[in-house]
Amino acid sequence: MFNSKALWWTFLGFWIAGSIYWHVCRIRQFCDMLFGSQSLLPEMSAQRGQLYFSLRPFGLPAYHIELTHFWQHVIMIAGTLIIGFILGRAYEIKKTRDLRYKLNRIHRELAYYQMKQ
Amino acid sequence: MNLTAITIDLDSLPVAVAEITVLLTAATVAGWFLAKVIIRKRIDNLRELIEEKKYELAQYRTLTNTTVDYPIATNAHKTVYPPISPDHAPDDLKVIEGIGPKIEEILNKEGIHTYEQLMETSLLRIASFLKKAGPRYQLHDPSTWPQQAGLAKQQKWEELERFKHKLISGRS
Repeated sequence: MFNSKALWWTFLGFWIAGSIYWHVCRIRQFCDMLFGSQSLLPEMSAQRGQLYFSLRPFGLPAYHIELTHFWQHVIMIAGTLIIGFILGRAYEIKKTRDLRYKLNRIHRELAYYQMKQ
Repeated sequence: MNLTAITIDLDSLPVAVAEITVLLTAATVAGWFLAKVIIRKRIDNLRELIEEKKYELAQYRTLTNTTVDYPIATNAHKTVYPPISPDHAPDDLKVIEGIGPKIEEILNKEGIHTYEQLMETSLLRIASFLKKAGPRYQLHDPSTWPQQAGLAKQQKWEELERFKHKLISGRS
């Protein structure tokens, strides 16, 4: 199951879609502005307080992280990073297969010679 | 010509969506590259290890003079098999239809490492290897293996694939 690339791509798509929804509707509170419904897409009230930093130096002028939403940002980004890592690993691991096969073969032959001695 | 100034409201929905999308895409790419770097490091380690082991193996080969320890000609009426000389890298016998990792191991144990060796091995001898390996392997039909090995040796991969396809479709 964990080797299925299609599954991980799907999971990544859902994760990104969910994160976009969370950021836009729950953190930045744009959904209620658009649809005017609190019951459909409830918002989380942000407390602008001690910790507040912006990603303006990284080319994202309006992106800012507040203390109350810090862990939500961390989870969204870390989750995407982990899924990206798993996907990258799934593609790159193929390259080691041939080498591991060669190594096993050499080990077998070495074991044979050691046994013979 | 009047140039209208385009102002972007930073506190708007499209900007928020674009920013989070860019950030998440960057996180995905970072994760991907992290995996790539780790795997590359692992590949380098494996290559180094293989080189070391190859050297060790070469020493063993020169020490033992690449002779086989099973009887070659104990009795005059017995078949005498030529000595094994794996002077080039062993081939992947699993490309042959009917040979899996286990059977490949059995064949390797019997000194068959290359397509050429398999091609030159008689069917009776292959059957005897399978018989010796246990009842599980006696069901395998090695009749086409030398022919397939011949194709693989000549690197006629397309012809081999067609042959394998024919075998599989004939079986089902």
